[in-house]
Amino acid sequence: MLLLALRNLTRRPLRNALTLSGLAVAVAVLACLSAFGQGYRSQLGSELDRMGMQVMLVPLGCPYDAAARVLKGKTLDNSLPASALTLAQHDPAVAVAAPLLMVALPRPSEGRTDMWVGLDRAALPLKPWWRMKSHVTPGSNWFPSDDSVILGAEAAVTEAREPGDKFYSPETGQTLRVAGVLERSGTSDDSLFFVPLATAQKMFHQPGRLTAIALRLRDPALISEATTRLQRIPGAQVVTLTEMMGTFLNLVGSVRTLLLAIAVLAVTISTLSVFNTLLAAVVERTGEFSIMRALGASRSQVFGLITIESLLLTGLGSACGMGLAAGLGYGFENIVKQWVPFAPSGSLLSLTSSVMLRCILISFGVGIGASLYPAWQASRLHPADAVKMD
Amino acid sequence: MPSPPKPSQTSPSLPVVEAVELTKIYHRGREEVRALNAATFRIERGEFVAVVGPSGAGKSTLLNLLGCMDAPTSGTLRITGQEVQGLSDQQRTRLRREQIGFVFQHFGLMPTLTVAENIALPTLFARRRLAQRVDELLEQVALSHRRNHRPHELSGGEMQRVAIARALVNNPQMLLADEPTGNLDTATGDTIISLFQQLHQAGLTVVVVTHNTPLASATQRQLTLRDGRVD
Amino acid sequence: MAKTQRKFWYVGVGLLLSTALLVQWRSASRVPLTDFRVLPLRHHIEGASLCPWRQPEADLHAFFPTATRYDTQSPILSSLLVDIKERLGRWLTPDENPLYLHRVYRNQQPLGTILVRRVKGEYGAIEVVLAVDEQGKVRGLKLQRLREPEPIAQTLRSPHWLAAFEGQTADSHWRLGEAVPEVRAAAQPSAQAIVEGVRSSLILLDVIRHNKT
Repeated sequence: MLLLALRNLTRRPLRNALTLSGLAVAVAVLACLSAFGQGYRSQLGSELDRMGMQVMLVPLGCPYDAAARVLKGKTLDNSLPASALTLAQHDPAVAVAAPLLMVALPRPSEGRTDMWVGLDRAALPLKPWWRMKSHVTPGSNWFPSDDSVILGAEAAVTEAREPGDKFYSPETGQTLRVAGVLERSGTSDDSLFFVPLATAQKMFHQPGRLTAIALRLRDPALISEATTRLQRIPGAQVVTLTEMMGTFLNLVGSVRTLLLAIAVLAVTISTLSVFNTLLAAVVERTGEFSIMRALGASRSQVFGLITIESLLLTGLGSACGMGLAAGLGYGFENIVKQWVPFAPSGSLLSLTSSVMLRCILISFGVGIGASLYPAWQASRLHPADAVKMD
Repeated sequence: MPSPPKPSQTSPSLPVVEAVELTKIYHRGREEVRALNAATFRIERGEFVAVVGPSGAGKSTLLNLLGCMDAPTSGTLRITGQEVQGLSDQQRTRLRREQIGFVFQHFGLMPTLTVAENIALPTLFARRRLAQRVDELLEQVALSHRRNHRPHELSGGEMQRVAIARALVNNPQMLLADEPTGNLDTATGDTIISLFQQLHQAGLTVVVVTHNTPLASATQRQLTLRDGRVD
Repeated sequence: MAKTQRKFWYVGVGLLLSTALLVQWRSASRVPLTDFRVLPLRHHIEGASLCPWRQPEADLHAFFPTATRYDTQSPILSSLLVDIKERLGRWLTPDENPLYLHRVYRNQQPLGTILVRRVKGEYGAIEVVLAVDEQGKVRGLKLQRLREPEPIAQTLRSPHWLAAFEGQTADSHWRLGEAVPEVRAAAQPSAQAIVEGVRSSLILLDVIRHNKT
């Protein structure tokens, strides 16, 4: 029966190949999307886990305004008021309050964006992964002087800097001395330039200004009461990491829903195409089915034959789709990474066996679903039609 | 030359076909068409019978009833002793599969299957594996050298011989042929007629529905149908 | 309740804007920029120390105006290391070892090679784009990136100084004041680094070429 079904599939190679490729693309999209969703969630989760803080205090408004204003030599509109740090430090639930000033200076002509972070010593406990690979003053994780800079691992490679080297900021005219290079952490820190907070405020002419305060609580359980209090600090808004993650996941969720809708559409279209192929095959082969019935094939055998043909088609299609997903998945990932906010550093695509199994089950569902009506049609054919056909 | 079927399942004394007052009525809109009208006849085991008659006389209807592909409206029809009326579709399918071999005017070969696979097809439906029987039949219809060819590579006569071998693969009690020479030239038709004669001589019951005079005259007996009645 | 909703609204709008900015800046600068207040960046990997060629189209047009295409080769130097050391007078540094040769063609006819090197300037990395013709002569030199203070940057980027490299080969007298003109004292360390980068690149290319023939 399997042989018969297989032979029948080779009868219309072009039509079946087209149906097959449609199905393969649909399965590949479906597999990539499922794999992407799972991968994104777990990567984002693990990156957030590595952060030493639970809450951020940020200015009201858009943070990206900052870079533009600094470049034009204007003071930051959307920085946190000086009082915010004192208020946060005095909150009973706050264990660590680390003030930060961050400025991104893009230079498109050189294809570069310098990302400067001014930080206070209080930030150290929030960066448990900070390890100096090499430094001027061994044993220290901090800046030996106001004009020193600590470079992320990647930044040090790109700038060809080693501890003790000079490091110049063309935009601000500041010459700094490299105090150390951080070990690679797989986080954003790898590409950043760190300077003491006061130095950053001086370099960018933003005395007393902050772009964020990172907070660690004494007890994570205090998060909701602390948030309520911190929310009252004028000019600041509170963002908790879980909230942040939730927002990202929602945002990604909506992108995913959109893509999933496309995938469902693709699967529906491919189901209809399998259906159409089978129905056309049944109509084409009416005479053959009648003859089979006359030769003693039961209705269930004819029904089974069409179902096997459909399953072969969808099985082959889903195998090709899986191959496609495995082969082109990383290209797909790169495209999706451009779309989603905050693509985590690890691979977003996790083509696990459960994802594959799910897709295979769906495609078998498609196979059986699409074959029902054509198979029923074929099984209803009357054996006497074999004689009439003559 | 071809090996006779082994009539082991039914008693040798019973006729292969026994029809009493066999009637089949079709409805064409409000009109009632009496395709077969109280036909009574018997076909004994080992007989070679031709069903003849003008167009519209009820030959196809009779073929459908004899082939268990349709049920009579009234009357009694026994095939190898088993009453056909009242059988379910499944039971009729089994009767057809086990007791009757079909030969069609247009051969009805599956284009995607080879000669050997086409011959073996009914065994697939009967869930039997009879590779040896296929080889035997290929030899008997002198097509061993064509076993791996596809139908489109065969001549008309060869195709009909494949169809006959296929009809015999399940060892039927009766071979039912519908205009078996209708699509063949005279010389090829003659070889098919002689093949039927050999089968008949080997003890098989052969019933052919035909317009073809040489074929009808090669049979033992002719059942003439006129207006749904057997003369 | 209303306040919470407003907060979500701000965060949402902020995120959407930042996403748009992110996509735009990323495509413009090829450097990931993200809300580094909170979340780690997808770090930007440029390979161990391989220096990217940032403006291939513009550079090709400037150095080889008739070029129709280029391809990139990555020769394995391990078997040539002794030869290179002999010519260079020192072992290759780990930074110099990985090498991409961008071979430039006019249809099927090779026109030359472009090498991109990152050398250590006094105040930061200097990325050198070096175009060499088929005879091993320098066709042109460009500093695609540097972060030296303005007077030094001006000296290094001056057409006069860069033009002096043209026509030089691996066998030129690669010393400031000889193959290329002397520069003022402040620019000397970085100028020396560029000269050494060009020299070592030309020698590498020369050794590879001779080895092939």
